[in-house]
Amino acid sequence: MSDQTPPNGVPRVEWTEAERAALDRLRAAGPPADLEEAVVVALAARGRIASSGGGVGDMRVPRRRALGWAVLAAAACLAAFLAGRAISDRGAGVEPTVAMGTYMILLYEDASYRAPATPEAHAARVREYAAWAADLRERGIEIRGEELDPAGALEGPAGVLSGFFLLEVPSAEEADEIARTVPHLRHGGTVVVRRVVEH
Amino acid sequence: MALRLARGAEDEARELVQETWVRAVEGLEGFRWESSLRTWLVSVAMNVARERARWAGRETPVGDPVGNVEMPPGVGRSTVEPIDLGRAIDALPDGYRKVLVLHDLEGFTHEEIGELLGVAAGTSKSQLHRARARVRARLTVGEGGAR
Repeated sequence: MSDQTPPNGVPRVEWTEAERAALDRLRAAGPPADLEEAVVVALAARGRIASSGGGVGDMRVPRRRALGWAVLAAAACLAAFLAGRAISDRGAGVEPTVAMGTYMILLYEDASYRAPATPEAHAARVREYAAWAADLRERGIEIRGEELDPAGALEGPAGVLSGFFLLEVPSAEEADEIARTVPHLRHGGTVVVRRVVEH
Repeated sequence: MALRLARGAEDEARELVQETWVRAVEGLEGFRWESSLRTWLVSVAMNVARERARWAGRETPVGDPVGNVEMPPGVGRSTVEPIDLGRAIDALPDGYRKVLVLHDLEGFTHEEIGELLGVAAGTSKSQLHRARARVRARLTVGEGGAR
């Protein structure tokens, strides 16, 4: 990691000429020629292509209509795609560095927490929390979490600290917003959001 | 885009496109022009990709340590093969890959990506630069023959 890297910032990375050229060629590669046919078959198989009489499933009659619609939609997409490229190209090189903060969502359990009663239920709850975090990762948010060993846990005002999530987002507001969706709350638990100090 | 969402798996990409079209046709009546048709179609594709990944049990590995991205210099390979770049993109974690594909390949703005992925535009920006750094790191490793 470069020494110039701000502790809370993400360094700007711009493509080199060679990388940009490769991107252009990737972008230019179109779908396989038989994909359109496969899409039409899939639409017909699901009964989504209506025949001229309003029925479904006749591939030979409706196919031309479907293709016509497909071509129109593809043309609209292509126009939007080209516009998008122009925006992308114009924007290259001016992306600001974005300050990110690391936040910890602490999970507490007190008397109101409905703890899983069996090992199976406990495993299911862990999976539920993991799926929640996985969904955030799919949306581009870096997050990881762990369950804490209950041995040696001290009880605080919000109960016993039983786990945490560590995430990186641009603002405390977004961290709070995410914290409000932690499944722990649905089970009667309490969550506390704290910002991690970067040194 | 489907090919990159499917991590380069052509059969999966084909299924993804087919299912996206079916969902799009089924949901077209509900389209209210609150977004562009293209954005709406891409959102359908993203949802399909997410669902298919879940059913297949594919998830981004946990424990991507915060701030561990190495920052290779902006110089290096004089030529980059598209196939190598594609593989490097395919190897990205889901979140990084989606942002990079939507921004650098499909030309969406960070605001649009934020809407598509349900994140702040700032998150999209930071993820994009992390993604680019990872791609470059992988390309650099590949150049050394260690991939």
